[in-house]
Amino acid sequence: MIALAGLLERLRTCPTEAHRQRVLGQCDDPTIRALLAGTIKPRRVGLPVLRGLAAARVDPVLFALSQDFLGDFVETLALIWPARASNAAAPRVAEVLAGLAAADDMPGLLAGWLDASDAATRLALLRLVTGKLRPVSAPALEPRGPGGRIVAMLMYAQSVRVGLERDYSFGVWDAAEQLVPVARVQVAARDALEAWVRAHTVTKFGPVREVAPGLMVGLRFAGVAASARHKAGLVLVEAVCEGVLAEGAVGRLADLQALLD
Amino acid sequence: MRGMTHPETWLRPLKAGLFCEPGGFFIDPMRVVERAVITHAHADHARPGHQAVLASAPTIALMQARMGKAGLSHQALRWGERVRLGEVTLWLQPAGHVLGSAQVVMEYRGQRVVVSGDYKRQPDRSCEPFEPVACDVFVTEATFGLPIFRMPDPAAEIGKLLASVALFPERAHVVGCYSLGKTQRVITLLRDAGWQAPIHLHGALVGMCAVYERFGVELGPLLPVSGTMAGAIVLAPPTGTDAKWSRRLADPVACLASGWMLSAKRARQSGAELPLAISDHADWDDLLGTIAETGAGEVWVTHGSEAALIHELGRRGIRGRALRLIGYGEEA
Ligand SMILES: [Zn+2]
Ligand SMILES: [Zn+2]
Repeated sequence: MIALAGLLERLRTCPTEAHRQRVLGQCDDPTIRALLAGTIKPRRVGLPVLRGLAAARVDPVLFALSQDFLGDFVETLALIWPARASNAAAPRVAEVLAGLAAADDMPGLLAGWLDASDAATRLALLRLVTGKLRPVSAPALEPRGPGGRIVAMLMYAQSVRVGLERDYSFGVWDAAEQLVPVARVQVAARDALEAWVRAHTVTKFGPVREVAPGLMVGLRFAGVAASARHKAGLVLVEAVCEGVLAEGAVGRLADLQALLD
Repeated sequence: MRGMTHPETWLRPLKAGLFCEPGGFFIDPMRVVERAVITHAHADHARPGHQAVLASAPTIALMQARMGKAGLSHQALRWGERVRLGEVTLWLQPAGHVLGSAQVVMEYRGQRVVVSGDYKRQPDRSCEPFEPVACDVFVTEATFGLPIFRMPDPAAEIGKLLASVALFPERAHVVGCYSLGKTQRVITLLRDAGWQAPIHLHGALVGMCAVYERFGVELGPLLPVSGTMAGAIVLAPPTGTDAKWSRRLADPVACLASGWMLSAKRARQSGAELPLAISDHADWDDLLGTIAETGAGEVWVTHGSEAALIHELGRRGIRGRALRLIGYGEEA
């Protein structure tokens, strides 16, 4: 968890994709990479459990004054947590994932981990168990004028004219953590991309292949337009694919909310 | 209690600042006064123009370097040296905040009051360490008076800076820090972490460093900013990274050394790429620990987040009182 905490801290403020890649390049823990990619979804802990922990350990007036200052319950709990003397080392990510999956005394398990961790690690741990990790790991949208840049996931590939061009549909997470398409981009077909699509096709209907989530790209776009035809309720205008992100960049997939804001 | 006079009757918060009536002096006054006792040389505590100034020798020197004069006349006190001002006996003890920073100890009619000024308890070899003094009333700051503020080990924070320099050797690392205190603390922390290369200083930081060195704080090789500064560490005032002087710098990494960086929200607002939670103020645990050490039955809070501190003191059977002195800043 210590490595994940350090990574999150540094990723949160990286100014460009290249810088982010450099930071991610330091991480060779496949579990952490999968977590940031969203391919591992840890079991979530509900807010009532966390509120119970806060009430059991912290004076309510002190907690309220602190939350007023920070404006965020999870961050307040992470920083205010009065650790009890603990001989345990901070938990490892794999240990946390396994523990969450199996736990029947969630409050006790969490309290033990929090006691063994420093503030930055406690924050990473709480973000992990409340599902906030992915937006936390990096700002996905950099607004530039009316348009911007975004990281999106390939959802569908469709032949336009055989062998020459493809239409690719890209999606982002909605509030229910479902991928919803927000852009359709025409790109000259490239062998590597084609091979990836063929290898990851889930279903085929006519010329359209649905692919498993995994391939992320950077999209540049000129604006966002409302669209009743799209499940997301919006579509990116003049979206251009800026390139496929190297594996490991996958923590950065945008949320629909970022486009709506 | 015959002969005892409660400090509330002789040490009072006025608009100009905390006034000791039987001694005829203010402590860190916000306005020009006849007689001022100055805890330390930060601009919000040491204002220019007082008639007579009493302070530690380093504070006098730092005030002179900052504003030419430390008052129309000044008197430097050694640590623990007693003076009689009016009917009050007064002396200074180190506060561990910046070089020369002092607690003001006052005795009058059987009661002892200590005014902490700004202070911290973390080890810092760029200034004299805080020395607790037993007292009846302890007048404390509370810049970080919330239980969310528990400062990390500053060596670990400096470790983040060095890791970033190793990861991005083609970029210039620009650390925003106040000229008095934070700059010299960051320099000594870097030296202790093994950084022996020259540290490059923005011109605004040079004067204060020179005073530190005059008082025997070794800072190692310091150079002006020149060229792209790729791979180098540059210290600059906190708002300096978008200014004209920094345009030649190679893809600068904006770092900010401040206790406020403990809060993700404040860190985000600062725009720093690398926030470093390095504080010159007592954190929550150190505020409470220090108050316990003084044995004071009553605590007055000058400025900061006093509500939480006073609430917690009440739980511990200590009477707390908010003075709400206006005008002290957030140099943290
Ligand atoms: Zn100060
Ligand atoms: Zn101050």
